[in-house]
Amino acid sequence: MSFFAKVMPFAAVIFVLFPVPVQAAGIGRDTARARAIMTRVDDLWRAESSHGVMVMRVVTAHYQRNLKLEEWSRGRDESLVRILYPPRENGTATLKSGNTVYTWLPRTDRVIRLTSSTMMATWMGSHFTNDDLVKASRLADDYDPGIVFTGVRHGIDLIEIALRPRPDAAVVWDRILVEVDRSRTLPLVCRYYDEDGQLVRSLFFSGVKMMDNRLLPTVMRMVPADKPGEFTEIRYQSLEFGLVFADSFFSVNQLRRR
Amino acid sequence: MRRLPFITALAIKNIRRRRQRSLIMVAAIAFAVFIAIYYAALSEGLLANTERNAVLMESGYIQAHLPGYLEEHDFYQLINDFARVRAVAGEFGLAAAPRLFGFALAANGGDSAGVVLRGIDPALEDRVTMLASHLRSGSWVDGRSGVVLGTRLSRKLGAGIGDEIVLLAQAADGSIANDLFRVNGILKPVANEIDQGTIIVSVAVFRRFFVLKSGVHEIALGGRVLDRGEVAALTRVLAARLPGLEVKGWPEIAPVLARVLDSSRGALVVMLLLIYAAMAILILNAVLMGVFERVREFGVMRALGLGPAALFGLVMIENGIIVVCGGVCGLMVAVPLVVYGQSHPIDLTFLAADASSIAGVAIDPCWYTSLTVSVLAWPLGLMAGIAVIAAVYPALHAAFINPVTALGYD
Amino acid sequence: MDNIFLLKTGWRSIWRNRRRTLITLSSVAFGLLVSVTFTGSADYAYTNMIDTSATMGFGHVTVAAAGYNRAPSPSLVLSGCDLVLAAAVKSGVRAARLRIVAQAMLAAGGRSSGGEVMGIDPAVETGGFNVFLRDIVRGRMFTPAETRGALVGEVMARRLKLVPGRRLVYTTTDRHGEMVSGVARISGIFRTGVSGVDNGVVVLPLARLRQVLGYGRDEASFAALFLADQRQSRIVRNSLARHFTGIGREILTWRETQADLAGLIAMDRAGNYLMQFLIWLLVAAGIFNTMQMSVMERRRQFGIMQAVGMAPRWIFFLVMAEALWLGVCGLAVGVVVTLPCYLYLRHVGLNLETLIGNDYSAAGVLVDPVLRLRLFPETGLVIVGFLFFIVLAAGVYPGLVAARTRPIAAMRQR
Repeated sequence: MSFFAKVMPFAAVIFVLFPVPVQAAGIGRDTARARAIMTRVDDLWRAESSHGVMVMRVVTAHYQRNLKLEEWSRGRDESLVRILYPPRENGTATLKSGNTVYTWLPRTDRVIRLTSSTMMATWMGSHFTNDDLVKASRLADDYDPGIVFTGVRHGIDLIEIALRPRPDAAVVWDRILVEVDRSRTLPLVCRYYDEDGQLVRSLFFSGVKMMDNRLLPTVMRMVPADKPGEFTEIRYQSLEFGLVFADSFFSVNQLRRR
Repeated sequence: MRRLPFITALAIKNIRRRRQRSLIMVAAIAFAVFIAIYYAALSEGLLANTERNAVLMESGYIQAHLPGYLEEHDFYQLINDFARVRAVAGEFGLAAAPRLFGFALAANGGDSAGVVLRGIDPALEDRVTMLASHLRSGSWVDGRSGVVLGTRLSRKLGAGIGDEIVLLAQAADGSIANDLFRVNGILKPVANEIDQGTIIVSVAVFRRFFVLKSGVHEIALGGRVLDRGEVAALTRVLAARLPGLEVKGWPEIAPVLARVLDSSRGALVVMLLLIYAAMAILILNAVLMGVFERVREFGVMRALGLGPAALFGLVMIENGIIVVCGGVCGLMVAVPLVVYGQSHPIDLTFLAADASSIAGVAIDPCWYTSLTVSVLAWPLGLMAGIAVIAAVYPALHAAFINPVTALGYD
Repeated sequence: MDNIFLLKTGWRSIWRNRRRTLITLSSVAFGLLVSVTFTGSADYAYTNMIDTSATMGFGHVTVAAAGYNRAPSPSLVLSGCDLVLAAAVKSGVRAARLRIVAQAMLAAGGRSSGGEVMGIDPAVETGGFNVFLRDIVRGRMFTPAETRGALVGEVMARRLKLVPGRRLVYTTTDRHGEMVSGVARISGIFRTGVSGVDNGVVVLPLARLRQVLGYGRDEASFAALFLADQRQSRIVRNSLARHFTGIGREILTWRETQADLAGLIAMDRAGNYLMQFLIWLLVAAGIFNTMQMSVMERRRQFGIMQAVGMAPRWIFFLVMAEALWLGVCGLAVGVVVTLPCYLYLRHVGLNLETLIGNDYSAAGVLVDPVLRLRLFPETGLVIVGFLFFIVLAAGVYPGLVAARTRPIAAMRQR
């Protein structure tokens, strides 16, 4: 259970920021190119700020769940997500500020700060964990990209990039493989592997559309490898960029305001 | 033995004539018997109680789960026919209590902790375990929002009786379960898991919170005192009657605990044997002395014409009367004390201020006595055996004594 | 009348009825054997458990920030660790180790588990004072150069599919309550046999954990102090307390940090003493019985003694001299019988592993399955002294009875 942070930019989450242009000497051409592609992909979602509405559909062996969520974000460390639907959970909100995640529960009128014990728990009953959201904003610091494949696969001209964790990065994956559509530089799929080389889960991107003058995938589907038939799908209904927020917007006080 | 009445009368006369010595012997034997019985009752009580407490603390004698639940603790592995299990258990005179478990985040002010929510049916649970009697303060769970916390968890959350805590979890339908609960009570140390991270609620509250209409994770069976053999036998029978369920007795659920209890039983038996040995030495001493110091007297009787058989009978009967008196006196002191100790334990709480544990289960710092057949039979039987053996040799000695030598014996 | 005469007469008296005396002596010897065996095995087991428990983290004496023991939290930081270590060394401890302990979420691949991280300094820690180093079953301890090494318990390793070389991510809260994470590579796997520990503890380099939790170079959760003899815990605690009173620190012995172990030992000891006390009572009753019988048999003798002018108190002393001899001889026999048993169990021991297995834990501490004895010399003296006292006490009443014999009545006895 439990939630928090920004739902949406799961993409941003995953690809996020490599804001630093390629510079360091000693980085091979491939690495530099991989970095450039990842930066480009990340910039699809990344802006100074964003605001969007999305629906999330969760299908598990035990339940199906449909949520409507509204999201605001600024930079890579601040985000606010509020549940619009279903009514039972309406108003429940999650604030991520740096490494800290707060949840406001209208039913109990309490703000709870999530602790380490809940980090591996599911986020809003989906196949994402709270940890995914917190770690997402650190991808740039945590992984080194490298191109492992260029060419046509399943009929698509694509580039496959492998993200390997840096030695001191606190991430659980041994490897993330990202397929990027070469012509449009849009992500197709991310595959997450553990240290046994086992695929643990896959994140698929689709529904490429123009939103606020950007062409980007508006549908993301997370599929766990060991639970056949289960998935979580996030679909953007609207997305806008370049908003200006008051400094107090991403604060605990704002969290409580409905 | 035609002359038995005569010899018996003679024996009684002898005993009365030598009242003081007889009294000392009776007292010594009574004392030995008393100590042995009392210690046996304490040991028996300690053993029975430690096992019963450990088992009834929270696990119960027998548990039923869906196969694999004990390893995976999958929230959706639910037993859906509690009523049937209850009915089958009822056929064997067992009560059944349903339990539900779910993970949650508990928060109180700035403090929070991951916890296991345990849903119980207070009335049914009470028939199967003694969990409710381990409340340290406050009151038990109710059907509304009252919850009970493990002791270390309450400290970690800084939550006292009457405080409101927030629980946050993923409900069975994937939604965000969250609610305010009132701390009704705080437990004494029970078992590590419960102390550190369990919040007890009623089944009704659990179902509402987790949006779970039916089903239970665990069914605990018990309701009467069962020994290990009965647990094993019932487990087998119930497993056959409840296909599709995994039925396990407590020694399987908590094997380390079972072995620890076995080995402490071994240690207590050794101690008990030593007490019996000390008792035997005392009785042996008393009986041997009582006979040997009278060798001269026996010589006189032989000289006066009492045959060896009669003399042997005399010694044995005299001795028998004294030993029986001693045993009866010992019983008369021991039994009331043991009975008293069944309800008034030796309370060692002051030695173990915050509880102590064996194999992760808190142990009761109170020693109750237990009155069983073996508690009385062993010391008394041993006493009789020792007394006979101790008397035969000197009695033979007396019977075949040469009167002249005996008269010179001092 | 001199003492030598009394002792000589007493000696002769007890041997006039040899059989009776031998039975009495054997019961005293039996009492000694039982007491030594039980006190010795208990003292050995307790010491063993206390020492093992100390090596699981807190040491025999613990210095921490005030309030840490009641409710441990990463925000309760022990500062000035160098001073604490220096003071500890001055107080005569055998070893002093700084440690950081924090609740954490541990994850690898798609799996995760709750647990506890413990930071230790690989440069100074050894198996002698750290059970995790001692019980490594796979891999090895991380070196000071391996700043991201880790030891993990066997059960957790199995659940998270960890082997040496694998990554482990830990997430915890730092001193300000902020969530922080770090990564480690497994260097070794330990098996203590205590399931909660093997399924919960991850050992990390102290320096690394300091960085992650935002602790300074001179800070830790607590200092664990190890003593050559756990019985000195209180003395060391008190001497340290004098250095550190009133500056936000608490100094605790294992009795406070391992309260359930202390409780268990106290209760076990109470049970043990109760049994020994009852055995001693039975021994005393036997001696009383012997003495009283012997006094009653000899009323005529005592009557004559009084008639020829012996003062009643000398008769009392005579009986007491007999008791003294019974005590001395009984204990001598006892020592002869007990010593070989004691030496055997002290140096070889009785392996009970088949009886109780080797993963038997009490109060969270593994119990050694080998029955061994260790009698503290002063405990031995107490046992001998007490038994001797009991024998003498059993002689008092018969002595008084003898002293009160009325000469005329007594001489008519036969």
